Amino acid sequence: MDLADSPAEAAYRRLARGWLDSNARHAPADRVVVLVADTAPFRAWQCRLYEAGFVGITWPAAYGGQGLGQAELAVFASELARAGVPGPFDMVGTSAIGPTIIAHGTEAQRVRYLPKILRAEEFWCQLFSEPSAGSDLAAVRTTAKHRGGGWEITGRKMWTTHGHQADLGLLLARTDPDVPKHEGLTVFIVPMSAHGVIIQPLRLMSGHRDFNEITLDHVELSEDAVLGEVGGGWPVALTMLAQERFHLVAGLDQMGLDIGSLAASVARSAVGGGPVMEHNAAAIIADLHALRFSSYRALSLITRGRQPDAGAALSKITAVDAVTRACRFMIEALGAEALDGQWGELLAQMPGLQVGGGTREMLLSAVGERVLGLPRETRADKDVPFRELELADSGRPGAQR
Amino acid sequence: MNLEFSREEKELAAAARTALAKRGTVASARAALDGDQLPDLWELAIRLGWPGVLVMPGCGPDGPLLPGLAAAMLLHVECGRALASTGLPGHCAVVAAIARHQRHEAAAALLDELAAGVVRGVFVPPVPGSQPGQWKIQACGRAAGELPAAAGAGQDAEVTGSVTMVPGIAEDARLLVPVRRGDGAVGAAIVDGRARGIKIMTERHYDMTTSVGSVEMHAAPATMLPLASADLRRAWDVMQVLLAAEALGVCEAALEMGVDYARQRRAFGRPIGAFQAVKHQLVEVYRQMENVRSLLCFAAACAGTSAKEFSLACSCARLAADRAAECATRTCMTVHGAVGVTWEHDAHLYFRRAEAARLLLGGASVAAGHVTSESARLAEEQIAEGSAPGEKHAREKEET
Repeated sequence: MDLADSPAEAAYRRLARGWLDSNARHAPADRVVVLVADTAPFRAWQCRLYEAGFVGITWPAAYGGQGLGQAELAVFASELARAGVPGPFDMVGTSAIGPTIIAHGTEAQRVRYLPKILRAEEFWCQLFSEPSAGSDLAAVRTTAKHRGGGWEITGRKMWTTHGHQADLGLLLARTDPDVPKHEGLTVFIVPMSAHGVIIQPLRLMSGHRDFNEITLDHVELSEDAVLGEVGGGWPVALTMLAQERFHLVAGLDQMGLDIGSLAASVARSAVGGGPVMEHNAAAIIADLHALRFSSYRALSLITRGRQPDAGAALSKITAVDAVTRACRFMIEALGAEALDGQWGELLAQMPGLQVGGGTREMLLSAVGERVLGLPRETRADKDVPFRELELADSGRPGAQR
Repeated sequence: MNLEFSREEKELAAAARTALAKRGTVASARAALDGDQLPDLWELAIRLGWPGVLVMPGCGPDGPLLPGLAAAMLLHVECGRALASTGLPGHCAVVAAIARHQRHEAAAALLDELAAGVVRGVFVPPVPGSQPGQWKIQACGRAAGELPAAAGAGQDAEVTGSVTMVPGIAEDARLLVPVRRGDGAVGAAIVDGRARGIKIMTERHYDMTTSVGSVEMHAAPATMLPLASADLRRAWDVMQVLLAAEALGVCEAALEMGVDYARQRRAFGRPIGAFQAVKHQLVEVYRQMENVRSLLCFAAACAGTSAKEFSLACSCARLAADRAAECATRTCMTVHGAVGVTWEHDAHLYFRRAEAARLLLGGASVAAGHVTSESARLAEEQIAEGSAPGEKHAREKEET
């Protein structure tokens, strides 16, 4: 058991470090945060990374990637952190949308969209969640109706990261309300500039306008906007979500958070603070290192061609919990004015991270069922056509189950 | 990066699980509460090679820190699962202290005997202070005292002093005692538990499988070994991490019991494990357990490569493991409802083990203090070296 690189990893690390040493000066001064006002320097930096072969590291070479493995991706991520520079700007596109298009798209779609994701020429967002479908994502109500030679989309989407800056969106909509909810879904590619797409910013408790609410009012799409099969949207959405979960812990890093330096800050503030402070600090530090090694354990499996089980996603709970306690600890140590600084800001971001990619309760149930083998909850909507559920939800008469 | 356990390591653990199940150690733990003698597992330990588990080829003055630690951890997880009382954490601590001194004749001879199980080792643990090289005697709820004193020159000495809360202490063993030498420096004495001037008292509190005790030494004859403070510190760290591994085993057993019951017990027309209130409690146990497993990997990875963070990793693991064991054993009882608090059910055996074991080596307060001071020390060291993450780029930005 050791943390040392294999010879191939070591060679790749030398390559990455060498390139970063001579190119880090071109990087934008800030880390990627969820919201960036001026995207130009970040897009330029992604383009430079791409030209050097550091974007789409795991993508097949045929689509502009490097055809390398998760091990190389991890090595590069750790070298980015070491150099203190941001990675690719369009994380949604490069880490989730791209692989989903590779898995489910037609050759024409791959050729059309993938190169521009890599070069940050087109920026993507995900149009999945809705005001009444979050944890229960398969209950989306946005409808897509087949009209003439294309599709017409009507509905509302919520919590759309980058919605106001995106050129394209990946949309989950209902094409058939007469079958059970998972079966009547289809995924579409939507140009955000299309007529009828209305974007409104959504301000979060942290003060950031990270998210958007998107209204789709009779938006017309062509036939080739469908990704995957008509009625086969759920497997496409699952591919996308699996990629997203996979990158959630990396998301901490994107908030400008480095586990090692966070643990160091907590430790240095606790020394000499008495046994209660030391005990609180130690519990936080232990959790942070557990987080670090949980991700190494997952990585160690992945680099050996195996998948970590659903339990690996519990790291999100540990992360939110430990970082929240760390922020509160630092604020106690530094005084009330620290609430208005970086610690208060990070603290206010944690409840949002908690919900990202699924609520705590959804995650706990999934792990209980898939990993511990506990029985599933009884589901009232099983095998019921979606149309009947919808009627029941809106409380109209005649809805019976 | 490789954080997988090897095939040999897993095989050792599987063999341990089978052997301990055959010996019926959980039933023995119960019988001991009713007054029966706990069976001695040392013969079994020798037969399966446990006393020498830390001593691997390549382990020596120039090799990696402790290549056998991963195997030792998996073995201790099994001992915790089965509520086995082996005295192995203290024995392994003694082995860890001297494993790098094979060029010293007396140390090498003792190491051979310990590894073969011909003699048992007991670590008489003081507590490392906040600075490297600093030691104090401390036990949960008791005031700090002085290290035992060693008088005499050369290899032979006489040791005087007393230490309480010594895990796994036995007369039939060699005690490794950190001592204060005449010149004020910290030294390491080996004392035979049956020698003159030694009085050993064993106690078992609350849980019969966790043995602690005290030792009083009045001019007891001892052999001084040329160990540095770092060797004693390594012994203490190894004992911490092996106690963490045992606690993880307790968690595993308690979680399995809870999950099995939640799948089979029905109420309101469905298995109780289908209710979120029950399910989520069990997943919380699993989450804490997996965090402990990650911290054990942290320690094992450090032990394979002599990394600086070894001591930090061991205490992090101990702190998290005791917390997880508390959560696991209490949740196990909660899920079982009233059945879980009966004498007949095994749940309380694990609860007792967790509650008694968590007090060893100064318990959570000492582990927490160590995590904090060690973490702060490493941070200062990193800043002094200018190797903190992101620092390089930040400096360059400032310069340009």
